Amino acid sequence: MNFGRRTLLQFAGGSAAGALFTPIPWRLLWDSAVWTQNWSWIPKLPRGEVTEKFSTCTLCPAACPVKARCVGNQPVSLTGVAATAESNGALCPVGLAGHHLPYHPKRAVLPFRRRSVNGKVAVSPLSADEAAAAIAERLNALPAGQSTVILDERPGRVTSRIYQTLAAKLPRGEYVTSPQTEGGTLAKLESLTGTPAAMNMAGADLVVSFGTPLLDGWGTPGRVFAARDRFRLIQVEPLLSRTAAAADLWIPVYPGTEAALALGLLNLLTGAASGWTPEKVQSVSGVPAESVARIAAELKAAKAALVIADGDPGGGAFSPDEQSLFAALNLAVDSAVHPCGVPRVTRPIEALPDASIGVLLCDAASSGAGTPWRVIARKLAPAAMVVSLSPFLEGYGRHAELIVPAPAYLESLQEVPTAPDAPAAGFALAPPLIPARPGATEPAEFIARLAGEPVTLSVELKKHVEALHATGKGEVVRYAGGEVTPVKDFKTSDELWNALNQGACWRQGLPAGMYASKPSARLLQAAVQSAERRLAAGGQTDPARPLMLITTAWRATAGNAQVSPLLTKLYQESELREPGNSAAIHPDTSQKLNLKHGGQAILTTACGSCPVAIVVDAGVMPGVVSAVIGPTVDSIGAAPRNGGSTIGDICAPDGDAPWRVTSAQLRRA
Amino acid sequence: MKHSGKISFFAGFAVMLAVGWAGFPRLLYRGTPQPLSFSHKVHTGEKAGMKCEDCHVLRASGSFGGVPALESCAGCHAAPMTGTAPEKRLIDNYVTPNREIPWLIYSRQPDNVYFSHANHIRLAKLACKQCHGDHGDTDTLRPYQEDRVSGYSKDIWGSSISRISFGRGRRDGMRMDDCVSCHREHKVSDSCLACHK
Repeated sequence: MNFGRRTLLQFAGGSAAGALFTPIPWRLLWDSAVWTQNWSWIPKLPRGEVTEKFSTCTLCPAACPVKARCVGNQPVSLTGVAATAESNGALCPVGLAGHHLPYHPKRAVLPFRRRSVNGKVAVSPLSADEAAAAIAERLNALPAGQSTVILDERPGRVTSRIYQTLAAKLPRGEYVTSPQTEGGTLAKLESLTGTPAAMNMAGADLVVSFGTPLLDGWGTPGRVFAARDRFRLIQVEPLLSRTAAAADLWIPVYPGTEAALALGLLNLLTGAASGWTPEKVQSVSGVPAESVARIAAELKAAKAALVIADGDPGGGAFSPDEQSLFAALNLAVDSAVHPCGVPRVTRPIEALPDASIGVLLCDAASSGAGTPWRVIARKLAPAAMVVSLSPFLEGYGRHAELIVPAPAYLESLQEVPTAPDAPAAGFALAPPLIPARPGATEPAEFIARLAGEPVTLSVELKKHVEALHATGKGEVVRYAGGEVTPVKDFKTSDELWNALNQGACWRQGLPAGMYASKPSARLLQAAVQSAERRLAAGGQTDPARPLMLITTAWRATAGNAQVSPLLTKLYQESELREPGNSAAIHPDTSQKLNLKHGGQAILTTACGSCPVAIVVDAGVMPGVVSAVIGPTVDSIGAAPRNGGSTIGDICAPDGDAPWRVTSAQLRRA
Repeated sequence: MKHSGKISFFAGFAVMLAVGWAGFPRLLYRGTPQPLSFSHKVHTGEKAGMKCEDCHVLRASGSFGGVPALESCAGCHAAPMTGTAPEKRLIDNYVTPNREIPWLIYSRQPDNVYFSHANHIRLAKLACKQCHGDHGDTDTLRPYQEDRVSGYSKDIWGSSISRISFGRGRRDGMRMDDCVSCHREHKVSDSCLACHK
């Protein structure tokens, strides 16, 4: 046998054929597929013991208990806690992905200053001390007539009390709250009657909601859904929202005329708003007269009714005038409101004169609502200094000259005040689950440094817990197991502090009776007059912009809040939610304007223009544009820094009722 | 020679079969000894009388403790009990300096897999042996074998490179298709999100 080239090739051919009958090619195929999923730059989960830790979600006011599955002390997933009535195991998508936020692409990790030089934005890093010095310099030179303002988006906290104290020590310091916070109707009820109020949704048999997304991001979702089977829900709003679709009755109403319906109801219930007959209500609001009479009859017959008008997180709050009316309605019926809770100290930023803020210090917390920047900007003096204490570059940070980043969610000890739908006062701690990044500064401690009053937040929180312990009132619910322990059973305040730090919440006991106050004739008259004034002021449309723009947002995804980029699956891939900058119009409106579903259009208001994607939806009233302001592309870290206008940017603030309805024009792009 | 071409071809064929079935598995895996010798047999045998769950704890919450932490070992071996060399190494190298033992986990699933021991043990009533074989009866710890390409443990693929096992009473391998086929066999959900949360 001769060995030559031919033999070698025959041998190689045999080997190649033989290889197909071995595991080599098939196994390498599988292995290389796995190998491509394990590139060195792909973040790896830590190895370590799998443990469970408990905390409380601080991303919105809902105060949901959270269970974190940790691997080697690193939270790798968050879920709700089923053992407590506080959330019944529910957690919204934003909360489920909350542990991603410390690693958000728009996370600020070190303080920096942003300046405009020759039309270009220049960014220079600096230390927290240098940032404090720069602010102090500006405070010392604050012109007469300008103030230093601390903007608190989450009032009712111990931190809020600290801010109020510190504001008094800053040059012409003011403490203001977010233009929109959940619990607006109850807050108005308190201010009218002087008695703290809380709602007992579990005991309600009828809920009339004015534009509040009760079933889609309001209050504590788990608690609302647990009570849902027991109450009838009437949803009053201009579009067929998710809550309206799931309500027992949806009452479409022209945008901005909700107060007319409330006046009609008050007239039928108390006779106070004479002249507001169902027919007049129909002519103003579009609500059929028989529907007005029907809702009034249901409110009258209800044993425990609730009227809630907190508005959509992206839609803007109702004005104080309108809220007086909704509060009066709660007093005029057999209400499911308790004389309970904690007094809410709110001072909306609208109360400040325009162009009066010299230095604005924006706290890191988010109200959960998407406040358009223009609402705040109109209060700023020319060349005002905006300081963002948020851990993110976006939100208010997008407009800030100085960013002094706070620790992100789960990175530092935080507090959780009473949820807006809680039946009684509550308090919880959100213990940190991961260490804060170096360079992060607690906002209250930073502002305290500016005011020359050293404050340590954890010390102040501990004092609060000591005070709770001293009262001996209420009970503590441990998230692990749901065990309930009366406060008086904690021998020392340290025991209570430790329990809260391991994942627990304190809650006040429920009062025996309901809200006893009945509306006085004077209160009713004042509410009616102010609402009529409000209605008279609104409703004037600009002929050049004949459409009515109303905005919506998914709670805790717009404004100062950021969401995990992974949540894009909910609104970019699955279309379970409309993406930011989409505008829904009625088929008649689309036909009239020659706009097609999926087409691009330009939405114009008095404040600017913005490109939008058209959604044709019969659930929107004709003549109305319903636009989504959150989550925005900014909030997922996809937009360039200081990118173009968003719908939130072009909403026009309107006196004391910011951006609820804006005159707009829509044309094909 | 008349058939020399066929002989060369089949020689190549045979050589490749031998390389593929005998040589390749040896080349593919990199063996690493465990940091410490450990006998499951001694611990679960009559003398110690322990059960799997005494060390591999399933907590009341449903979470699985996995490989026991050092404190479990230190509970008995804070001071020498048997005087063996492995025990001395355990005490000197780990218990006294309070350093966790860096065990190499044979059955570790990749990071993108969520696996609940509680569901499989409590709800499906599976025995440990069904997935882990006779590991609990072994007298020594075999070396950890890591796939040089994928980085996975050999146990994920299975002990046999052909993935064919004959009447061994358990599944050989812990790949996704092993999970899926078992789920289908038992008529339980095999949706993506069941494991890839």
